Amino acid sequence: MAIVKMKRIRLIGLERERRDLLRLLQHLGCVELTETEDRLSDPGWGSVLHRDSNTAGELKTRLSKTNGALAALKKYAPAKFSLFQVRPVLTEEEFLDDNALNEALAVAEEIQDSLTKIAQYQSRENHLTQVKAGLVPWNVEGLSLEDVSTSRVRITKGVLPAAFDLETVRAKLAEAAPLSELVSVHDDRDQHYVLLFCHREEAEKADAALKPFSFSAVQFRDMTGTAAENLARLEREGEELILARQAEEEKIASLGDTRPQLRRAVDRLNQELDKELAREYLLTDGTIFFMEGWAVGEKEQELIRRLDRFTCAYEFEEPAEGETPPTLLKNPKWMNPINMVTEMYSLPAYEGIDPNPFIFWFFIAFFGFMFADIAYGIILFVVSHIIVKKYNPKNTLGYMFRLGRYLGISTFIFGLITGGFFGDVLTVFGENFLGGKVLELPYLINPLQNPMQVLIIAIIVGAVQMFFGQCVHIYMEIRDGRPAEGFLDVVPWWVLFAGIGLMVLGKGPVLLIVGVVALIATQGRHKKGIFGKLFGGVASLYDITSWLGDFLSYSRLMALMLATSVIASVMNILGSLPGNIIAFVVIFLIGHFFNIGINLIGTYVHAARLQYLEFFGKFYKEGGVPFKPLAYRTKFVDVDTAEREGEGAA
Amino acid sequence: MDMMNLGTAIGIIGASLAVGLACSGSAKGVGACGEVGATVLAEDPGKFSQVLILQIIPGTQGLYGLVAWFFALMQLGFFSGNMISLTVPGGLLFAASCLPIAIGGLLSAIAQGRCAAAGLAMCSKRPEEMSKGIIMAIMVEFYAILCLLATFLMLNGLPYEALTM
Amino acid sequence: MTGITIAFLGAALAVALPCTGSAIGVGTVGRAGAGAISVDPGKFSRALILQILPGTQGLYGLVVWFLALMKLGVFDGTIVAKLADFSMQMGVRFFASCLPVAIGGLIFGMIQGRLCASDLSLLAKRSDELSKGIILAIMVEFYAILCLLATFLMLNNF
Repeated sequence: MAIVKMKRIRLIGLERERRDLLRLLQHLGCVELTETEDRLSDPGWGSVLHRDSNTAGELKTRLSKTNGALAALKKYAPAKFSLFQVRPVLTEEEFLDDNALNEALAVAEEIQDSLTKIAQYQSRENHLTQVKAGLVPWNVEGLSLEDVSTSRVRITKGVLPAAFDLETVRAKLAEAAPLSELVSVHDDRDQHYVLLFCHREEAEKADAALKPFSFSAVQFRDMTGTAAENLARLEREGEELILARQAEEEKIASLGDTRPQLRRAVDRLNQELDKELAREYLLTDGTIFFMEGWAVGEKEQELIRRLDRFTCAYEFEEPAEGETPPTLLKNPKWMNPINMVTEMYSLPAYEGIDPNPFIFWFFIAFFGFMFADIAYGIILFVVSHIIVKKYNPKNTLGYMFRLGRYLGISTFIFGLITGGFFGDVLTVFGENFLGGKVLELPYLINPLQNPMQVLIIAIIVGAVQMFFGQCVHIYMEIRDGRPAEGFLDVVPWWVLFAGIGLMVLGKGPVLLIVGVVALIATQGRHKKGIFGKLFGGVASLYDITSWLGDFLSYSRLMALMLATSVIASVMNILGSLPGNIIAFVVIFLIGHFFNIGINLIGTYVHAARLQYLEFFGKFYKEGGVPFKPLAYRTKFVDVDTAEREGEGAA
Repeated sequence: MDMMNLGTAIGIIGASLAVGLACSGSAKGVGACGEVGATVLAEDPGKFSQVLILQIIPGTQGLYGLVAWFFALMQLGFFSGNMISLTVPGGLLFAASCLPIAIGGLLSAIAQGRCAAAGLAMCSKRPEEMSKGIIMAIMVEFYAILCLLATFLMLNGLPYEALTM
Repeated sequence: MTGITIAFLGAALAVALPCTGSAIGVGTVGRAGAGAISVDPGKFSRALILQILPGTQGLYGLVVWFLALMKLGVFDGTIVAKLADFSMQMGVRFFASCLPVAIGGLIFGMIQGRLCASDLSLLAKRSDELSKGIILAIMVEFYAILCLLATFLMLNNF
């Protein structure tokens, strides 16, 4: 129910025990390391210690190899598509098993080898395709690729851009070098492929004549025989390459079963990497190392017990004046899913307050209020429950679906109050398909028939929440030793509101005036000078406008409740229009699916927004920095850090 | 000239505007998102699901317009085959009732579209903050819901017997 | 009977235009917010606070609309009687009474939107001055409240 108390921890240990010590910290997961570099500016420290460096390079290479192997598996042995991954649970021993890691690394190595070979084959194939493309135009019966020039006649193969007309070229050539001839071999969209026969003595002139036409000679080094022969040869080579590549791909595919192993290895490597990177927070002189951080206050005894097994010196201290420890929220397990709502906004500041116990009830109630429907509630609960049981999702996704169960129950309850079951489907169904039978669920409040009543309820609910928020503010001030401040902030406003209420009821403006005076007198008390104080007080009257806005904002409770019912109702009526039951069922399913989809997101956001803005605005201190301990942070597996008999005792 | 049906005609114009304008707004909004989405995908095709989710958000106004249109036409008896004949003032009242979702839907969808597009651009830089982009886009949605409600309650509250010929 | 028609139109605009103004304003801030968050996700809470400031106009419009419809007798069924009673003059007066909130809500919503979007760039440079930004936006609110009061008092006479 609270923000966890933190303590400063400082530790000096032996360098040779560093590894094991860090491993212990990672196992316990209750210490966050903080930056120590600024200590080096103190000459006493700086002369003795320096910042530790890490040998993370090797780990990073292994990690990228293993990740690469997983990516290859994804490509060549795609897994069955599933929305969620079930995370296997391992004991700490299994997770830290070096043999498993080495095996996985060996597999990754194999896969990487195959990948390299595949890349090589691929590039060779590309090269072949290029060469083949170059040969195709020269594929003429009997034309050898070699240089078949004779002693007198030079025969050159060449290309000309297709833009030039061959006749023109020939004319120019004949002018310059009459003893030559241009024979066309092939034409395509881009180029002319030609054979240039010319007497060796006229070779230069011929070349000069052709130059303006961008004639370039083509040679086929290293190739003998005709184009056809070479094409056939290349074809065979290509086929072999394809076969070889496919063999490698199949090899990778066959290793598809090693996916879980590789995933485990990735997680393991990440943890080792975390420990290595943690070294950047350490100061060392080669023999000893110094470490500083935040520790969870209540784990102090356990930490002491464990650390005593090592040769080290440590101290625990309350946070100093001006230091802000990171924020960690602790709540009963069933309340945790509401964390999702708080985290999305901002964690509370360390000296603030944990809002979860409050918004747990408010948020879930508001959501139910706005979504109110028996059937939707059941659907929401069932779907969330199935996913939680089957896939056991973690972190934010886990919070989301566990929260979904509560939201479903709340929606169900409010659905009972408003008598909504898929909107008014029973009424519509009875009217149209059961011969006018009137089926109606009993209800307490019905937004469709009595919107004003619901609006008033909504605003009253809002007033209750804001009033509660102000009480939390008073509590916080009392807790921090400033009770007068708390009351002075809040009570004048209560007097003012009571005064407005009385005036509306026609009982005279006396209380209202008292309230105004109280506000003017108290709200400026932090300003300097008498005028400052008065002015501040008067200016605070202006806050009435933001109060007005706040009250009105709660009308969205009614607006969204109505919107969900309206759309559901219309979908039902739509379904009854065609007149037959099959059409009804189809339209019914599609329509309500849409309604749930659209309104689910909207209701969540607006329920959350009421917490963030109208409620938190009364007391919240935001800006907390999340607590990031050295701990197991795994993506694919879950590590069970529970300790068994005898472990950790001595 | 059949003055008797002019009122109903005006009423139907109102309903048509409700669906036509609201859907246009949604189309424009969804389109604006799509434009930004294309740029995002050009850089990283893997973000398709994010693009799609954000792109759908401005689409709700069209649905609201459709819902209002159905409701309006039902009040006119369009679907049951017995169309009521509204007087001209009655038709104008009817059309006025359809205005909120028509105007509000159109303009709020366009605004929401640009907002969602900006959220999409943010997602391409910070994919993990997509939920924040969605929250900000949904803030705009609220006003379309208010307009739908106003239209619905007005259409519901009109005294049709007094307005028919 | 056309009197009531014009009055109704006034009520419809009283909710439609301010909601539009708010939607546009909220959307504008949302765009700026997306930009701010892409640089620093921690600014989300403050961006959200700024985003709702232009949102009040829509709510004011809704309140006025409720009042207008109550005056027209829609919720308690007396509208049938009023159909005949409402002269053209009354209708035009009613319409005019709705105008302050209708026009004001639309424009203030858009103005506050731009204002709060600029507040976000203020936040980018000086992240602790949120309250000053909010105060600037609330200055505009004053005039929206004046419009709300005007419409409220005028409608109350019916």
